[in-house]
Amino acid sequence: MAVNNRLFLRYYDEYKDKIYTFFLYRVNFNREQAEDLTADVFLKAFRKFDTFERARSFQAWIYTIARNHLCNYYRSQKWEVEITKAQNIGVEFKSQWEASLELERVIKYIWRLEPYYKEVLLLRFVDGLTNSEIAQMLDKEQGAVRTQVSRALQVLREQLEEFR
Amino acid sequence: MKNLPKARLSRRRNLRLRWLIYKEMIKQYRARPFGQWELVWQHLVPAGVIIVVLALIVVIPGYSYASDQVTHGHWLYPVKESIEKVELGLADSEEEKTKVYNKLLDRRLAEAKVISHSLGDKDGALAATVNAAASLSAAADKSEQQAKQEVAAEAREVRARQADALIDIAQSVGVNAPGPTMDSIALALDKMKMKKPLRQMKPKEPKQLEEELTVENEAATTSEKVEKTETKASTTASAVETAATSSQGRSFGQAQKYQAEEARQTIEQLKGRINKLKQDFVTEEYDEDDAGTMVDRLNSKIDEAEDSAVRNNYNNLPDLFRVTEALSDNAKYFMKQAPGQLKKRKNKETGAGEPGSGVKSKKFDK
Repeated sequence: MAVNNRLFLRYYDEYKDKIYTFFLYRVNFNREQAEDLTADVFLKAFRKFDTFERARSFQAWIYTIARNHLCNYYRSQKWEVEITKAQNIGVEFKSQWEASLELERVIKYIWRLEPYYKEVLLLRFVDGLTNSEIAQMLDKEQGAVRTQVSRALQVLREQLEEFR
Repeated sequence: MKNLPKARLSRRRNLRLRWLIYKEMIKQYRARPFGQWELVWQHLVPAGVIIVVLALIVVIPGYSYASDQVTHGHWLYPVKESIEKVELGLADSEEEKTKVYNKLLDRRLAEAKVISHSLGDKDGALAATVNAAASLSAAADKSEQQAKQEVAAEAREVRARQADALIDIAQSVGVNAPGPTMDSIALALDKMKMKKPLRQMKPKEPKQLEEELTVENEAATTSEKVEKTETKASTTASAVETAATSSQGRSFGQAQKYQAEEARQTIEQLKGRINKLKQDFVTEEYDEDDAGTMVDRLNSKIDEAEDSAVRNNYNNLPDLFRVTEALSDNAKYFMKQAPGQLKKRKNKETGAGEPGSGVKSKKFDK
């Protein structure tokens, strides 16, 4: 039991910032909400840690819990990304980080993408998951994920070029 | 895309979340049979061990250094002394050294005060502490001489305050304190008041004495030698040797005579002091019992000195003289005053007052 606890604490130290970033990008950069959700996910993960198979990747496991928890949260909050909020996403983003204008613009355009494209881009480039981990999480084929990622990137590039 | 920023959980939130996880762990332990014991064994025992180790490393030396209750004979006293040695070693200028010496001296006096107020003075702890204070006082004096003017002036003020503290200790132990304790306090008081001893009589080796006396007897010895040279021009080497040996024997005898005379003079001087003290004790209205005990103590030291002189044992005399002198100088600090005693005594002597009065009873009247 003590071994499990120590292992969990080690995983916690490794993934706390990643899970926090995951939530921060998905609740429109609301720090408070992201922190609450991170705490919920780790407590939930600790309670279920006995069921975690060591052979599996902890990253995939914790992200699956995080994603499911986020879905429940959206449902309970009747979450809808309002148009105004989506338009102000650049301002929200800027309030969190001293980012360049270019990054701010990229964020704005990601938020204008279709939800599925947005999700795969964030999982791939912000959360740093591999295509296979994304496939496992979204219950898709790995090849399909690769295609979705490249298509999402192409759409984003086109939109950015249009702006220029 | 890869440049999109990554966030970090705030420290406050991290600690809170960690605490929630620990709480969850404790809950799980409690839910299992014998889980509480498991918790104690796996977490609380290691935590206890860490606390004990930290206590050993930080708290105990800190306590031993800071507390006046850690006195000579206490099991933590060696730790205290070691830390003080380091502190002294870190002082690199004479000014700093003077300050450290005075600080340590204050500590010794505070310890001496604690011992003097405690019920029993085990193994001469008070004498040892006062001796240590006296050594520090001497070291501080030496440093002061080389320190800057302001520091030296400040240190002298401190010394006066320290002498007062030592007088308080003398008062609290009183005249019935063990002999070595009283001697140590009296000597330390002399040192702190920076008083020069009555007579600087140091133990002398026969060779040293011989050298001193050679100067005095130089004329006689030289004339003898000249005589011998004139009369026996062809004296052999063995004859010269014999002459030298006989001359040495005579010089040693004279040296003893010289020392005996010196001792006799010092003893007379000290006796004079004690007689004067007796009068002072009466006129300044000191408690009669205290005065009697003190005079007895001083007289016993004089007796001891006279015995040594009779047995031609001059080695312990300088120390004995120094202690007797210090004790006679500072005798009054150990004694209590009893105002109105003189009047009462006079009444007794003249027969006035209570029936059966006029009996001379006190030891120092003999």
